Amino acid sequence: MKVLVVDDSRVMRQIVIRTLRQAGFDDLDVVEAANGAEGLDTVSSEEPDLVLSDWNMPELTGIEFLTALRARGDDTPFGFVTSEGSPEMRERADAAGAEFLIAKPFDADTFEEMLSPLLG
Amino acid sequence: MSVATVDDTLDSIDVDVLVELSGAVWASFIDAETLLDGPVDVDSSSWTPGGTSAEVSISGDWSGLLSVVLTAAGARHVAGRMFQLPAGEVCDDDLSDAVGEVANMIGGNVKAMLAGEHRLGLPVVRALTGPVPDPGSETVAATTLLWGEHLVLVRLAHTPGGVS
Repeated sequence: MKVLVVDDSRVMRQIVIRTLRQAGFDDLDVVEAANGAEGLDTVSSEEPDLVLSDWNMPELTGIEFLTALRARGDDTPFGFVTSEGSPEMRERADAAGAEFLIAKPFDADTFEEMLSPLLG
Repeated sequence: MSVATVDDTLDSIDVDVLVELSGAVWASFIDAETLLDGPVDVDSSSWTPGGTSAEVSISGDWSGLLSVVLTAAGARHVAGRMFQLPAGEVCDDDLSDAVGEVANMIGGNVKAMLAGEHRLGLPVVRALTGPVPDPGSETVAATTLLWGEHLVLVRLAHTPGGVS
């Protein structure tokens, strides 16, 4: 399975990928993008099975990215990994079509719990 | 049932909150063994020149700035830990990225505690050429913590006119 990790922070992309491995998702093919605009292009080119995206990014935010995906009929499963985990943000994420929102900082157990239904 | 106001939620953001949020970030992504200690009481002379400051703005119903200040060595070690590299191999871009992300995580969690509508800015990272900036009169909460031998200053300030 293929996962697209989208975050403007290179170190956070690395941490997300490390945490995926720690959560037991060892066989994933992981691709990366540095903002929502790149993420849109990468979904088209790579056709991931899951997108893990930050919310607050330059060029195109995570919520704008998700909205644009759904607007073009793309139903790729999408989850937020963000420092902004308020109830309001979770409601916005859900309304836009996100499967989940994982708040930073996070751990491998949270990744295992939230991603297992989608990645098996 | 009354609805919390911005001021109500601001009143709940104190040193203990900054300590807790900083500690969670440190334990999760920087060092699970040597945790942040403190608050510690230090004066400005304890800070070696040439540190790094990372800030994220919070704007909307309330405007503020969450900043994280580290010494140059502390910032390099934080980045090394996050990138899983020896501190000496961390380049300036990596250092800026890592310290910025620390501020982003603490700031994002502070924003999540605020009633009302707010936006989180992107991290702004600066090399400090002088001493640690004076907190000034608009500080909401500030704390100095110790990670091993490295000082960490975390501060939430009110910026009435927004951030320029």
